[in-house]
Amino acid sequence: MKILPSLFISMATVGMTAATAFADTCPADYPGGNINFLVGFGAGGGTDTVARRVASDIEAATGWTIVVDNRPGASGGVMARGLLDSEADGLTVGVVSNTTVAINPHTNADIGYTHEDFAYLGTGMVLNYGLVALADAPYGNLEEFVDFAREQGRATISVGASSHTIAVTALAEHFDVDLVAVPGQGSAAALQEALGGHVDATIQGAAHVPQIEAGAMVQLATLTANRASYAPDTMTAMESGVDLSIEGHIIFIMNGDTPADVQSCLADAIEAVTSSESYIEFLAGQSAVPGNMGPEGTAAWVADASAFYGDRLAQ
Amino acid sequence: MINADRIQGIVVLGFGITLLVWLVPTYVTAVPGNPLDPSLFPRAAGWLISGLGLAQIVLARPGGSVPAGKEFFGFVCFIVALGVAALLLPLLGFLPIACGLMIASLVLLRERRPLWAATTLIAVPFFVWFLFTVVLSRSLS
Amino acid sequence: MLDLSLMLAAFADVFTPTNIMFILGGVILGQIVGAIPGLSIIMALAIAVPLTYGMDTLAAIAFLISVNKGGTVGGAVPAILLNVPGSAESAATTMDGHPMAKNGKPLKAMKYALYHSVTGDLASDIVLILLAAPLAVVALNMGPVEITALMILAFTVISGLVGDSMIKGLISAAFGILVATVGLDPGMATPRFTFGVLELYDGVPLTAVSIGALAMSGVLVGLLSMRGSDQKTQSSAISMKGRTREQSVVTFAEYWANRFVAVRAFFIGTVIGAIPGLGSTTAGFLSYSVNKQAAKDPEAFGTGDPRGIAASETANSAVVGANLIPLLTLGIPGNIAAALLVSAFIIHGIQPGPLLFEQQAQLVYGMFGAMLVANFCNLGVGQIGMRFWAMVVSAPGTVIYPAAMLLCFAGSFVITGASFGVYVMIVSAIFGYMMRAFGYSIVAFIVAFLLTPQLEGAVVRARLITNDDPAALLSHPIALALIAMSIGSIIYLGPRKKKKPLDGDLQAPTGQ
Repeated sequence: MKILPSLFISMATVGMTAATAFADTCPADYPGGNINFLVGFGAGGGTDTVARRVASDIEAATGWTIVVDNRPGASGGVMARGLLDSEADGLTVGVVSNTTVAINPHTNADIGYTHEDFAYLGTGMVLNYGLVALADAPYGNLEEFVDFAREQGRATISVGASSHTIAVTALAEHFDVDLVAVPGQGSAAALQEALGGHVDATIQGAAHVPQIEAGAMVQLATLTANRASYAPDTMTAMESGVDLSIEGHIIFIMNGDTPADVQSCLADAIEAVTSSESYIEFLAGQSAVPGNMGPEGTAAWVADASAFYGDRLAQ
Repeated sequence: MINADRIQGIVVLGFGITLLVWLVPTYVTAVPGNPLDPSLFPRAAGWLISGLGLAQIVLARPGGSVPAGKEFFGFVCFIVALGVAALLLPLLGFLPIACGLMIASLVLLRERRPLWAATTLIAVPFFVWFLFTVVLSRSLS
Repeated sequence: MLDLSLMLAAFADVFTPTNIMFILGGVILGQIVGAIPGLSIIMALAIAVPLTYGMDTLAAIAFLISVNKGGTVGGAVPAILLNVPGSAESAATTMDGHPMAKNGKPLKAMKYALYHSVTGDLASDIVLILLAAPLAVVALNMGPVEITALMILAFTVISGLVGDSMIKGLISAAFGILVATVGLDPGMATPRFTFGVLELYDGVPLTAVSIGALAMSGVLVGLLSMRGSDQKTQSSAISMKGRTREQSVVTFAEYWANRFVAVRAFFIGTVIGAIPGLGSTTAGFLSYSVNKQAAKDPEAFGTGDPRGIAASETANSAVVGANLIPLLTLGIPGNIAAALLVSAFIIHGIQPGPLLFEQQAQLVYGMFGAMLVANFCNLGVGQIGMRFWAMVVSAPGTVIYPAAMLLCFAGSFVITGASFGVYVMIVSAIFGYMMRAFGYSIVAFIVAFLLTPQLEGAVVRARLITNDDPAALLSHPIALALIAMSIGSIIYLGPRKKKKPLDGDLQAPTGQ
């Protein structure tokens, strides 16, 4: 099993690599028209919200016109495949999640692309996945949860995405206990089932934070490489000895044939937004951070994540 | 006795059997016994359709309705016009396509009053285009 | 929880000129978008969300809620005037609304729809304000096992709507189930019936299907009837001329006569709304079906009976307020409209969750105030709007129907931003038209198509949670009660059906 590289790319070095590695400078005549942000998910979701916020911040900073449109379908796959047919003029940007580029090509025979077909401009938000349960459950951490599952014979965990199912399988394998992933229609539905006590725990990316702050839920384990700011006492899965770290990113991509200097225009603009105070504050309202890995960092992270999921899914 | 309902029953039963012996086994992953089995609902639909088709054949009431030939011809014309419009949309853009569709409607509806014909031909496409691309800022091609 | 001084302060926040202007603007926008076939209210909301970036939080939320509320009123207009539902949720309104309009009472039908829509909306807002917390607990108790049972009950109740041929109605429903299975399955995410078409991975798009099967097939029927008729004798889609007062006014006595229907409809709408994922289309049909079966003279439904309009419109509007219950109490959006509201909250730096009431009490009460104000704006705008729509529809059918066709065409394009949506719409329109022609219930098809994904997902989850152990059902009393109700409704409906063959019901949305 592989550890995702997020551990090795700390937030501080990311900004530097983004700034120094991108020697290409943006051509003076860019953009020369409207820029299109195509969101691979429906209106109102987390990816959509981030895309629209970043677009409006870039507009304010540069005076460019950015049209944001939703092209949902197959976890961003429909949009991503369409992106490869679009002109490589740097005016069409896809806004996707790690599922689109790192998982879809492994699970989906008709997808028609791999993560290598795209140019990566950066990332806009990190989702800190955590394993959470009701506060009044008879377990308060991962160890107790595993003991509970062993006593009961099994435990159920509601999940909202395929990467979460992979995490459940990894936990079950490590502790040699029967953990059942209960697939829901998105993470809100998964959260609802956990709150109603219909499942024993759930894996969540963001919506559980207000529940934890309200004292309704506890984080049993943090599934990212580092501990979560809202649950500093909860150990990560890796600290508990599980070789598992998943995290989610909202990723900005382009047709891979786009010239490097044109790519740098938006990569720099995105970098400027994600390091701005107002944007960081905006995400802080959702207990999240931008965690922009920059063009090269993102490409490297996606390559590693793709290898990780490909490996897990092949089993 | 042969009647319209009975013929429809035969078509429905035929489709149901096709589903069960060909479409579901070919296009749906089956994991029998697993709670996650993706083929459960498609198979159930196949059995339902077959069973109901059979019931339709057996219990058909006399004198099912059939659309008149002339009306059916008009229907086919409109559908063909819509299909052609959808095919040409990416090539020609929305406004020419919309005007073409309006011309087809006017011909099919035999509208002769010039003022109303002009409204349909020019004002309607422009209104729809304006509504979607300007008011709602959604691109139409 | 009800802090009176805070409430008064919050209500005072609403009554600023800016907020009232945004509420009014939102209601007008919603009613127009709702009334235009092919334009969905979700589309309007998605467009409205970015517009609210610059507004203050209360104005933004008030604006979005007003758009949503306006939409529930607007959809009934073309359903009544043209037999073309402006949105899927008003499809049940066509069944009695359009016959009443054809009987020379188009304004009266629109008034029935407006008054009952606003009543349902207002009542469900009051329930939200007073009873959100206990209702949220009820909704939380609805786990996969209970949802499975509820879906089974919904299927049996809806089967009362299948029309004059039970078998044909059930065939329609079976096809609805089949089409709903296209796309990635809810358990293992394997593609089913996708034939290598990536666009089908998320299933056949619901909006395109409902535009095609409900709206476009109605437009086609209208177009073909124009083609058949002599233009000089009947040039408008529906005659607005020669109305008497009796034909265009709804008296209080007439409104009050539907009170039992409205209460049942309101109850159904509120319960459906409080449970995430079911939606107002289901509520409208369920309420129509239940009310028809509860009536002494079910055969009157479908012939232009005001009770049919009241049943559909009260229920689909009652969903709107109730939908916010899981959002405001738990931070869980119950439908797409609520999800868009969440993104508006987040943009303004507020993360909805269980602490929303404590941390943002004044905002939440301000929002309640805005909802109440929006209801009255809805009533006022609707009164003026229906005269406007009546005027629009008095244009010749050779303008109105092609315009509706073009709107459906454009509307299905923007769903996916590609021709794929248009193709789905055309294929659905073909099937819709053929089903009308051969007497198969489109309603049964659409409802089965709507409910199946909910049912299938719930079945998968229920089997996983209970570990496929039927005995586990015994620890789910709500589910047992719901299943008992399903069995009861089958027994209750079965023999009754034979005694009274319900002629002509559900032919209505088919425009015959």
